[in-house]
Formats: sequence, C-alpha cells, structure tokens
Amino acid sequence: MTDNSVNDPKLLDFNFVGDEHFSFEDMLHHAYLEGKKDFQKELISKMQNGLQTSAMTSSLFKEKLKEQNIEVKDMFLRILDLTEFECLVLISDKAYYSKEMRWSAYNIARNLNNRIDEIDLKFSLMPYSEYIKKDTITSEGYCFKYGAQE
Amino acid sequence: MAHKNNPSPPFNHAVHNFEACSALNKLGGYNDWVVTTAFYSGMKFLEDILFPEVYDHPVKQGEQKEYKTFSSYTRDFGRALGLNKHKIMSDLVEKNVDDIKIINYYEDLKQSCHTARYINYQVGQDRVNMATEAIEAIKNHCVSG
Repeated sequence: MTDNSVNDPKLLDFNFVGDEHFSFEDMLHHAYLEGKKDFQKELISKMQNGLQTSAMTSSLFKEKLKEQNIEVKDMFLRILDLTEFECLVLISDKAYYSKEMRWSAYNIARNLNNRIDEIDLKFSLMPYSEYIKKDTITSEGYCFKYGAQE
Repeated sequence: MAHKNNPSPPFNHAVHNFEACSALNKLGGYNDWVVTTAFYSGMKFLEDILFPEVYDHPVKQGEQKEYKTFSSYTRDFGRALGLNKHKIMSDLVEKNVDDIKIINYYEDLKQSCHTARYINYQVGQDRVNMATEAIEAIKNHCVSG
C-alpha cells in the first residue's frame, strides 16, 4: 500500500489519475529501476569498448616493439576503472636492460597512449625472469593474458 | 651529499631516502630495498622541484590554482577522480619536467620498484644498477636545477 498524500508533486494542471495501487512513488521506483538497467548497460558497454581498445592497442604495442627488435615474452591486461587500463609487458632481459631499447619502448608507449582519447592505457615494462610469480600478477587484477586460450 | 639553503620537507625526505639507498647498496643483500628507497628518493626530489607551483585545477577546466604541496594537489585531484598518488606524480613529471631523460629515469625507478613484487623481490644487480643510475641523475637534476 502506498500513501499518495505524502507524494503530492506540484504538476500545475496535471493531476494524478492512479488508484491506491499505482502511485507517484511507484512510478518513481519503476523509473529508477529502468534507469538503473540502462545505466548498467551503458557502463558495461563503455567498459567493454575500453577493454577492446586496450587489447588492440597492446597488440599494436607488441608489434611496434618487435619492429625495434624488442622481444615481448608475455603481456597481461587489467582494468583500473571505467576508462583506465594497464598493460604489464614482459620483455626479454637483454632488451629491458638496454637503456636505449627500454627508453625507446617508453616512447612508443607514450605515442600510442596519446593517440587514444576515450581511455587511458598505461604500459608497465618489466624483464622476463624465471622468478615471475604469475599468481601475484593475476591477484593484482591482471585477469587478461595475451594469447591465453582458457 | 646534496645541500640546499632552507630545504623543504620533501627535499630532506629525498636526501634521507637517498642516504638509506646508498647505505643499503654498500651493505649488500638488500637489492629490493635499494630499488625501493631509490624510487622514493626520486619521487621526493621531484616533488621538491614541482611544488609550490601554479597548475591547472585537475578537475575544474580553465581554473588555475597555486598548490603549495603535492598533498594539496592530490587532494583536489583524488577527491574527484580517485586516482592514486603514483599515477598523479607520473603525470605531473611527464607534463612539467622538460628533460625527457629525467622523465625516463623516473619511469625506470617507478617500474623497477613496482614490478619487484612480481619476481618475489628477487632483485638482481642489473636492476640495482639501473635504479642507482636513475636516482643519481634525478638527484643531480633536482639539486643543480
């Protein structure tokens, strides 16, 4: 049951025509639920688009590094928020510890990021190592691995 | 060691971290902490040269404001966008430091420190050398600048 007397919106010449089973409060509640669904859909769509852009840009980054003879051993992607993503890129030891190659990679990453307007994609580089703890990486939100089949 | 007249709290903190970094490096066996202290020293040296300064308000477009400290800047930024301090500092360094080498050295420090946990802190000499080169360069830039 709803009490219409507590919801007395000022609608000029309009008056509420509902009975006691359908109040202004019900309408608001319904609109809220519908609006919430639309908003959720919009958020999911925005997130999916951002994630797709991040994945494509990360693949492009890998290609560009290859052109500079920088070998990418693995890549992981994570969502930081609706428009912010981070890609962890594991490159060969040799390339990482060459200042020239590493800084060239930073430069490529900046250029790629500057070309995207809708999201912010940060690239983090690290050398590939036998000590890599993939559990730690995934536990920090890197749920997407480059080339993962499962 | 670096000296300055009327040093700011971030400068003193930077020097403190730099000295800890050097001592740990000499001591040996604490490579992960050498990299960590180098990063936090670099961050504080850069904070010292970046503040106080007038910057665009991070949220209100077209508005400028004088920020006396990094904390006051992050307060305006973080409250609205929830960004973390390291990300804010990286962006500030990238936009306001005009020497690309210093920007890259800071990136070296940040990444080598932040990714150490992914190798269970088994930090090798290569990473230590990279971090010590970076912190020396940043210190010299900030003290001479």
